[in-house]
Amino acid sequence: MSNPSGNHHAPASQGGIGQSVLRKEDALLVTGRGTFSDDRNLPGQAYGAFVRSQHAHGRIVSIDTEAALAMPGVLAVFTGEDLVQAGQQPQPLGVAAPTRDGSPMRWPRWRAMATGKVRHVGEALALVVAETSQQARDAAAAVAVDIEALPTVTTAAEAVGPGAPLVHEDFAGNVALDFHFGDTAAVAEAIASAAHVTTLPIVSNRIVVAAMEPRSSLAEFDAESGRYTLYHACQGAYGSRDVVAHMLGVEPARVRILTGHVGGSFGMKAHPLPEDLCILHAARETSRPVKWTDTRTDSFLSDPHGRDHDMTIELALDEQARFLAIRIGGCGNIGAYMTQGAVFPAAINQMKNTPSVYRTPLLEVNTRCVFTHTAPVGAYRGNGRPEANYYVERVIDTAAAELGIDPVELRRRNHVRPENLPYESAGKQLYDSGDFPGVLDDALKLADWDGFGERRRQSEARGLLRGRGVGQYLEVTGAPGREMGGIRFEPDGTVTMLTGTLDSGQGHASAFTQVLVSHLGIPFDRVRLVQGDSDQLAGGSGTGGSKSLVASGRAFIEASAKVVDAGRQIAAHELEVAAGDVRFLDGRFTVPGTDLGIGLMELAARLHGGLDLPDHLPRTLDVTHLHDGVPSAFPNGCHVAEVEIDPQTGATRVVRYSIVSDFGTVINPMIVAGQSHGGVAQGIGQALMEHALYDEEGQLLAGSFTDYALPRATDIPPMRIGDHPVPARTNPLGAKGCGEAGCAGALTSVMNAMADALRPLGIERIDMPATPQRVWRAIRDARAAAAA
Amino acid sequence: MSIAMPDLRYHRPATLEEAVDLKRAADEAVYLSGGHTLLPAVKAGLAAPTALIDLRAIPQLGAGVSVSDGMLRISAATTHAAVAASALVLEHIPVLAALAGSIGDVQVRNWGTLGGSLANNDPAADYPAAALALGATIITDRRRCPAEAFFDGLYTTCLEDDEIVVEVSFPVPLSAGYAKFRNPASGFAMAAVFVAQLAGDAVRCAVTGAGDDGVFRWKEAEEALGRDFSAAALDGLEPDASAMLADLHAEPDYRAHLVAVMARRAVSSMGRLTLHG
Amino acid sequence: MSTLTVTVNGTARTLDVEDRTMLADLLREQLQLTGTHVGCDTSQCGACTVLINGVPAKSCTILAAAVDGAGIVTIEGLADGDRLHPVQKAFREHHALQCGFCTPGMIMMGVDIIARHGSGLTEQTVREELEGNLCRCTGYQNIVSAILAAARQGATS
Repeated sequence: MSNPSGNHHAPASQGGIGQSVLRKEDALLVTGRGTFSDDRNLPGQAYGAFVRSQHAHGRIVSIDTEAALAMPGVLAVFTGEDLVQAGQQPQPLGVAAPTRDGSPMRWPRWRAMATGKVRHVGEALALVVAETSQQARDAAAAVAVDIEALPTVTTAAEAVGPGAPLVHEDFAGNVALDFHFGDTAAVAEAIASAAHVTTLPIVSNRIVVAAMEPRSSLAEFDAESGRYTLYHACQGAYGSRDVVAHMLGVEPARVRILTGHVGGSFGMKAHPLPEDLCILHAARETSRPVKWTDTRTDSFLSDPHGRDHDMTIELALDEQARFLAIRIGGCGNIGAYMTQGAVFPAAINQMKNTPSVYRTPLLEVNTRCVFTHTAPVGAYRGNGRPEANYYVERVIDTAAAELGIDPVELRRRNHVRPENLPYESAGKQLYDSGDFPGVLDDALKLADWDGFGERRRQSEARGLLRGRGVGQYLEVTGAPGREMGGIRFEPDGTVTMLTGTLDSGQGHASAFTQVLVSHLGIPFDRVRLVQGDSDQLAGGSGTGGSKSLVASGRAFIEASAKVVDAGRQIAAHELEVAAGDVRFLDGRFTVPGTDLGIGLMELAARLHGGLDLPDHLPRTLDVTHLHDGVPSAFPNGCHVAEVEIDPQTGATRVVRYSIVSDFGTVINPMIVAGQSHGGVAQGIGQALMEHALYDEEGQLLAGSFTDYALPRATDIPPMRIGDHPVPARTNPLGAKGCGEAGCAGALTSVMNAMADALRPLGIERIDMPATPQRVWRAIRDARAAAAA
Repeated sequence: MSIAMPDLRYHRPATLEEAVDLKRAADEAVYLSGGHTLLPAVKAGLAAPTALIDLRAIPQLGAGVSVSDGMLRISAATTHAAVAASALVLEHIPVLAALAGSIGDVQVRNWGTLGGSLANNDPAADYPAAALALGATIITDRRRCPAEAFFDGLYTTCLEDDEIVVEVSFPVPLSAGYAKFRNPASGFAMAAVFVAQLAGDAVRCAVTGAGDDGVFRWKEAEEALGRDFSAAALDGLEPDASAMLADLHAEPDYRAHLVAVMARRAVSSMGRLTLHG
Repeated sequence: MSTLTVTVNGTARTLDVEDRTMLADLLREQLQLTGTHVGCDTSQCGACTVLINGVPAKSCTILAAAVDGAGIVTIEGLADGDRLHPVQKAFREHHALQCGFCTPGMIMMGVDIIARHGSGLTEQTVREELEGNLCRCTGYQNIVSAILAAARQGATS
């Protein structure tokens, strides 16, 4: 296992690529001086509070705002009809996916507030604006809503059944997307002729994202210029601007998005959500800045949720236990409306990610994205990638058990090996790099896989079951998107970097600066990063799909090259030599063989001081660069988990955890380790604890942190970290992206360990979340069956 | 900002009489002592008091811990943290200190109080199990009430509307143990059993977190332990599942099972608290 | 309305507050001390943790009127000018924060945990005593490391 530092080609400048540089933003954040959305206030601001539906499905008979309007401090009350009359549009169409019959994809209208019908508990019905937040909330309680309740459906399996109530009248069978990928006949043939087929029904439980910062927005409208400003937490100011402009029906130039610190997002704040549009409308109508901050109680109901799949995966193997084909089918519950990326988790990302690190020649995906009367499902850490890896790793372990083969050996037999690269997967992804067998070997060593027997004996001596599980994974990062790399040399001797990705805790400011330090030799402390101001951006696809570093990193590398080009010409003029004689190294332009030279920062200072340059030379070193996208990368790794189960109570603890990753070139090992830790914690949460369960009437049963089990410090084990980096060949950094990988490794390793611990009792299947009650029932039932 | 609160008056009386007068003066006045259960309930709209009467400045409630005549006396406004750290409690009923140290979290223990917990009688609270199993006496501003008669179903006690818990008197047992299985989300007791061996060979076993009528004594277990004080004596015993609470994390049959397991574990680790889940 | 006198981060203040105002809202809205965060309505997340008379408490669940006369320390009151408090410094050096929203509450708890346990602090104790603080980003590992490191350096504030 090598340390990831040392992979970079640039000189080892202070704060350059590969160093665990501390984060620039932390000095503010540890002293309480961060600027989260709710920390911002504007003079004269009013406050918004929402009236939300308590019914999962119903016809809006009336919304009586009279009493609320008469309450102290109330400025206005708005409903969905007001937004329609003002010309506000529904959410723009999101990402399309191919449909089974080739027909174009359709989207239902998702308006910022309900009109006609409500479709999930928590859907916004009215916005009250008042002088104080307390007055707004008092008045919201006085809005009288009359809803005629209609039948509800909350699970995908029921929603596609005969006679199920329709969420949207024009979507028969509640199917938003009937997705198909693969050669049906070839896969059927492979399965029919296989020596062995393992079939595993499997679920990905619904998750409440629960970023610790509740959503909050502050909207302002300037009547003179006709411009809207929205201060809000998101994952990309440029893209958010376009969504807001579309919904308001104005030119994008009339919208400005300003984002400060974002208190976690994980996909949930990926695009503007209904409340943002409501307060923008209110700001215009009341001629006041309007602020709204969600309560946690409401955020459980109205933030987009994550996951929620009900699948069956089949793996066909030949006599030598080589994989022949994988067929995966089932439903993704996407809730009442379609978020912008609703087709990813259950459809597109199943196609891309299911093949993982294995040579499986054939893949078929048959999944339906299904409407239900539940909160819309959006992106959540990995957005289908962890699930695809989870499904395939679980079916591999199940097949190994059925065939009596060591699960590690079964993986080794089927790996895509380094000599197979480049390799096109059955999901049509061209893997460029990686050492999958080596990653597995390193993980087993780090985990002391061979010492498990002794540890199990010790657990058994204490009356506990112990299991171990491997979770090897490969993720296909987000699709290519335009990204900006702006570099501005300021008069005060600092450098501003501008890009359209957006940090919500990933430490972009230091990581991106490290790229600039290595490529331009600019001192680390002189650089600041601007992401959260759409007015300063010329483009950007935002953060998502673990692609920020690769996307912004390439943009800054290419922008740096432009800086050097311009700088070389100006330096040549200043040094009175030919441009071709000037070289750039470690932040200096020099002329080999002479003592002539000038630093980049000095050149920038001279330009600000005013240089008399001939017309053909550039006048500035500033660069606004846009690229059209970086190919997806393939971060991969292997996690090994060990669990202990108390068979009397079903309580489970993850007691050992090891991580080996191939994230390609690592820019900042400290930050990358933190991303792994956090992803693993979220994965353990989904595997063992978290479940956003609705009842049949569409009420969320786990509607607060007292009912919804978010992992606490005692629920998460210490993690060992190792690295096995193989730089990517498809981007100039060699990076692969690390943000979502932790979940992929954790779901798989933890649940394989659960199955390993429970298998001796005759338990064939255990689903997430493997809560104490669920585990206890499985053990009780297995013992009863054994006794019978 | 935080979730909406109803408009209300806050009072901080200095005497019991003043507190009672304030309570009688307003229709929807509620006593407050810590408030870490009450205030979240108010925020959630489950209670809408017009006045909150904070009892913590009343001297009798803040007298702290004392021991006399085989009784450990703890005044009502003593915080969980203070009970957990009390040298007297640690000396005489160590498991009671450990129980107090397992309530909520560090911050909650710094504000939550013994009296507040008992008066609220949350079905998942810890103190009611200790009070019932130890045969404590709840001393109010007007009477002495045995724990047996004090708890009266979910969130209900025998307290009159304006009655105030002043002190709790715990008989010092020969030995006591407490085993708690925690709710995976809230950390509250999902099934917890307090077992006490009292003077005169009496064994009492109180269950919290599980019963659909709140804290209760599990008589069958007491009888079995009275005959043979060992975990094995409880083998095969389980409380009636039809009297158990049901929620997201535990259906009645699972809760009944957990009660049985916790009872055995409490017996096997007398003198200590054990935490599970 | 009530009038209360409190000392916040060393400065005595006399304030008029509505009786229903929570301490967290007083700090954030009236005193603009926005480092104290509100992450839930059920007293579970701990982002609002401040020290009241030296002990940590959840300011979202304590009425402002109830702390009349008390001394309150918030995250803004820990550093000595530009010199970070040792626990703040340890959080930075150990990458114990990502989004930073839970961080003020975690740091206040770290200060208290170290004050009570000193350098004999164990990893298990830190994890148990962070029971009242939720973090969605870090997996807690580096938070635990930072508190242990600060404890080893004898940081008792």
